[in-house]
Amino acid sequence: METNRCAGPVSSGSGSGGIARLKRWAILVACILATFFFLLVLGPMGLETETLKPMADFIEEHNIEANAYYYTEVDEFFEAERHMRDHLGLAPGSAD
Amino acid sequence: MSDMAQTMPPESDVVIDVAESKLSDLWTKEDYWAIWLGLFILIFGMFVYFNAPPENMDSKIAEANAIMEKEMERAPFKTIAWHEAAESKHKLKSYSTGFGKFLNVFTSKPHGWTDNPLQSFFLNEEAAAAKNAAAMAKYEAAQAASAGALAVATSRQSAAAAANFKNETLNAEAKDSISAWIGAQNKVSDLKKKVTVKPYNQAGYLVGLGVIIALLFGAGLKVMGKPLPEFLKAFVLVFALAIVAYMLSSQAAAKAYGIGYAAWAIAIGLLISNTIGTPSWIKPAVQTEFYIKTGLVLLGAEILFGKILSIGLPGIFVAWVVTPIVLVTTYQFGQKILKIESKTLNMVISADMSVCGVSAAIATASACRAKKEELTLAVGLSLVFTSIMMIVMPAFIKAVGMPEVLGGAWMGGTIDATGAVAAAGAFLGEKALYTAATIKMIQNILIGGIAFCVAIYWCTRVDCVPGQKVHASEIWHRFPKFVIGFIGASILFSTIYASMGPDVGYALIDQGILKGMTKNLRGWFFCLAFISIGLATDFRELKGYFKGGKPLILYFCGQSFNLALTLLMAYIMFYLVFPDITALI
Repeated sequence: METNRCAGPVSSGSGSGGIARLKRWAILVACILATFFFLLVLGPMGLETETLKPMADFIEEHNIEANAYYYTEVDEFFEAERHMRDHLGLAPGSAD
Repeated sequence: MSDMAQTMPPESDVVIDVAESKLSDLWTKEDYWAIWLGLFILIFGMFVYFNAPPENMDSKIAEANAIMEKEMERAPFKTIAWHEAAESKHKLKSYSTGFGKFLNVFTSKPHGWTDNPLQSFFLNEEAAAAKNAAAMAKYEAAQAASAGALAVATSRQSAAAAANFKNETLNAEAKDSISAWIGAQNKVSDLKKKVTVKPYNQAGYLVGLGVIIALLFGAGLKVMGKPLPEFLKAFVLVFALAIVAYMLSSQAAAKAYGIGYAAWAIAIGLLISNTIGTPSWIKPAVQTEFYIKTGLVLLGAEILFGKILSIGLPGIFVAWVVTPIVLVTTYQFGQKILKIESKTLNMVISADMSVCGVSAAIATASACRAKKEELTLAVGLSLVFTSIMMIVMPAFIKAVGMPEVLGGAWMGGTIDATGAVAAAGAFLGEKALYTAATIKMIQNILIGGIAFCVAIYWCTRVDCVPGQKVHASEIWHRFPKFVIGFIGASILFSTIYASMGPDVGYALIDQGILKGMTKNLRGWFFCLAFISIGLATDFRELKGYFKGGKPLILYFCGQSFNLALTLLMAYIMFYLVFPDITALI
């Protein structure tokens, strides 16, 4: 993939470097606050809506790692594999 | 090489192996170092987990298998004793004892939290007790329900046994009541985790883990001629940012929306690089390639080919026939119809959409040497579509009254992210979960083959001028060598797993080295890579890749085709060709 390059800041600053730097820090802090606002207020509010609540409650109650990226990170996959092995062992067309 | 240069992106943007190989490559090239580090971790893990199996593992497995065999001869369905014996085998987990347990805790990500981020790292006695108390009422209710279900199942099984298991009605009643008891047991087991919360202090372990990872990569970089002190200094901040990314992904709302550590890591890196700017002193630890390739070698160990057979022929058709067709068709659609300029972007989005989201995007991006912005874009698209499909698909399947197995196969084959498949499948029902998860697991395993094929295709067809004949030696020179480690780890672990058999393999590999150590370390390496990507990306450059909305169109059209073809194939396989298998799920 790519080589290691580091991105520079949005603005170079120039003469009014102090104000530009302050502005950049302000944007950073605002984004951090916005993230926590999403996680602690907006996100949970959205999960209370009729569309999302059933799924959100289900994920919470069953401890499902809904944001996992690979099957080894999710217990349900091992449960499913065991179930299939136990139930399909003798079925025609099954691989066991 | 000069011809090649005309068709390839500038060297400042991609890593290009010089078209020659030397013995010194073994210790001076990052690809090989990724293999050595991955191999070192895997060998260490095998030493720890294979040498400390759960107590009396062999005798317990033999005893359980004897009971299960006897019960299968006794009754035409799986009895209570059969299920209890099976459960006793599944409790054998090498990662939950001794040094293996310590390693699991040591390498773990920060804990889950809801409204107090500090709980990601610390939980005192009082808070743990409060959590346990809050869940106790539900747990006790579930326990009572399970005991009731067991009493009903025992009584119905006795009735069936009294008729020598010759009465089909009694057998069916017993079978149904045993299934209900298993369901109730599963609920108890989910809730048990919520009433057995213990106090923890993860902060100390995270410091130790950071030191170990820094030393591992530092050693490699040192031998490759990079300055070690500068790397170690910079690594402190990069690792700290990775911890923050993991902490955010462990929050309850983030989990429910399916926003994983990769998305958070990219966002954090982008935020820093595009506001205050990435300080130049961090540059030595912005080692995207090195982290990602080493993580991929560890991922190879999780690609266990034996699992392909879990769901028999219908699953293989749905996962292994549809997926490559969708991948190739989407790629060709991007090239011939949408005329996407970057072939690597086209391939990464196609693989991300058709195989299994972020993990497939990482593997193919590395295999075809995609740019960091392209991987970022693919991860972003996957996140958006996964969140939508995780909610919409189960709702649609329920609304139209689609059978659970068909719905599960459809979701397993189409929802990108693996965790979201488990959530959507379980939400729909047990059969849907089992089918969806198994199909997605088979797709996960496809990553190895796809990455290998993409690497070969890029070496022979893309990274050369039209009509140029590429010799075998040239292919070897250009081939991304870490893929050898990736595939090699997969073959090695698949072979060991097959030789151990499913029961021992489950205890020592699935629930041992993989769950206890390599899965955690692989996650950390990928997280470090995504932090590095964010830190090295200019948001304005990213915007350029979205020109004309082509990536979005590609994803949307490819996913629509995927939805149609997967549904058709799942219906044909599970309901027309192999209805017997469907009936058993």
